[in-house]
Amino acid sequence: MDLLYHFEKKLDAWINKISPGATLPTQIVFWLEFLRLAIWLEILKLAGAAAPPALIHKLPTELIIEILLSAFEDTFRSPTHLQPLASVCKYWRHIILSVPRFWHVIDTSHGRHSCPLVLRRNRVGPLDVYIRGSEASRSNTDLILRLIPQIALESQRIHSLNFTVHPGASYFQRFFQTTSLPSLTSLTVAVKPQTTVPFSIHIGDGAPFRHLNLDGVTIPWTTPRLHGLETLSLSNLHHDIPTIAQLHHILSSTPFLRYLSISNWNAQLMPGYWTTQEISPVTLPLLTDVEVRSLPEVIHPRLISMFNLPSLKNVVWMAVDPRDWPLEPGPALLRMSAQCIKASPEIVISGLRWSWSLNITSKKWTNTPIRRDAVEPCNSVNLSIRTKHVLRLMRQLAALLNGSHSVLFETDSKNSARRVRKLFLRSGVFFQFSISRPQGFWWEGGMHSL
Amino acid sequence: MSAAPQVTLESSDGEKFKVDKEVAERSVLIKNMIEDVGESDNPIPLPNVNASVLKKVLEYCEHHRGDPLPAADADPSNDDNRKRATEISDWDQKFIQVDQEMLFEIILAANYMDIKPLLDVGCKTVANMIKGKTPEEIRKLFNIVNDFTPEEEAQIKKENEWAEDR
Repeated sequence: MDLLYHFEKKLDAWINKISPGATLPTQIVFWLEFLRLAIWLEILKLAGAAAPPALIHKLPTELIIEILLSAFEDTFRSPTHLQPLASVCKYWRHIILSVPRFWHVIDTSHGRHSCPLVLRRNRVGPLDVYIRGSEASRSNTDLILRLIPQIALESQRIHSLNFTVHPGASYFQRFFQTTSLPSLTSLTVAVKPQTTVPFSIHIGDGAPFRHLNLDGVTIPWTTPRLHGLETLSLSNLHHDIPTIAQLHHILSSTPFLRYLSISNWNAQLMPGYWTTQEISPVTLPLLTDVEVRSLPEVIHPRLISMFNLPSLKNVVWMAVDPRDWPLEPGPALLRMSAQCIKASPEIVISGLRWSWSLNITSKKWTNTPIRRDAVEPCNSVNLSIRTKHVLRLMRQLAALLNGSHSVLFETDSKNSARRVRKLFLRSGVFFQFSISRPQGFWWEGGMHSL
Repeated sequence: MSAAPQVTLESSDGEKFKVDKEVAERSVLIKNMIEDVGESDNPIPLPNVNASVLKKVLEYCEHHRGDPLPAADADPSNDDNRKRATEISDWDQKFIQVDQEMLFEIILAANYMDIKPLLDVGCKTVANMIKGKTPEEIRKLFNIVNDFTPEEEAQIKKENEWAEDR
């Protein structure tokens, strides 16, 4: 085994001498790499056979690999987190150093040595790249500028790219213009801190994206790479916002979409055709989570009418209407969220008071963003509706509930409590009121709808 | 009303277990065997699984009999798939609270019988035992002998310092 180990070391050093971009045919490098991996597998078998007699070593190597990968999973996946595992015994060390799946994350926050180390240990496997450039410090920018050319050389095997960028950084758009990313299936780009400066990035041809998360950045909305998305998050868009037809087209071509988040789109810049264009409903059969916040008010009714979501489990919808707006999204929003409301055993309804703002929240909601990797997300609602017709909405809500539900009403008006009580008595819901009358002046006497 | 079809499984130590076919077919190995051989009264031999482990595995299969089966083409190297597949429910956590010997036997049986969700639960449990521990603690936990020579340990330490240097 020692002999093999030394031979592998020699081969490794030899491959390392071949500089990136050298004229040596790619196939030769590939076969050298293949030979090196074959030797490693042989070493692993021998190391497994010679491993210290422990119960865990009764497991085959492939299961030990899965266990160690799983133990490594929740860390920041930097090489330093592999050190404890690689220092247990020779067998584990052999596994960690030889299996490329341990070396798939390149993260600029892991320091200057991490990137070359990962690229040396994983020469052919997929890569997940994190470029964290939101910090505009000189040293951080220097480090990124030094690492980007190395990363760009491996662009063909980048499967996931997570780019955080400072608005002042010039390398960011250049990276996308000059780098082809054909294998990329997961793209997260965020401009931090937020800015209204337009950022648009070039997306070339390649595999369809599975995950797309854009924060303050736009891409060409007509690219076929948006067909087949599983998660989509578009936030802080101020320019080049997709038209309703483009959004409709994207959603119509994403039958596997599980998570959708749309937030903070600039109201002033919304194209007028959001309100005029006729659209047909889109059925998203697998979509379980929807999060919509801070959109121009005109969009809410259009968006709600666009969706048919048979699998919806969790909904966050902050539909705050201007008081004059003739289309109230409330009833349609309740209809869309009906299955989540029905499945939420404990609900809190607040806002039955001076304002037209009403919050319907399931108790399980903890005000944290929905985790898109949650295994079996529980049903939850967090709706914020401004409406002139609270009683009508309450009637609609009461029709969705029954004796298995418990509702807590938070109000500052005994009058509103009495009216709502009448409605919910009929539905058999277990309910209670929390009536508070905070001292103040500006809302006194402001109860209009109840 | 006709009774649910049943099959008989035979452990390596000769004990026979009569279970609903639906339960037994949580194991892809058994499902394939039944498909290949067809309906038969003969017990299905499982020479790599002893009775106490088989009993435990069947308890798992019984509890999860109605669950959707994992996709056959799920890519285990995919981060999302691995993460989703290895979250452990409360019942599974209680189920897998066994001594180390039984834990590894269950993992081996799940691997042999091709019951992916059980295999994931077992592997994740071992991974959770490892997380956050020092090499020495891991060695102690699993009774692993430190087979590095002092020179090798010094070399590893040196490499680690280099990796930590930012």
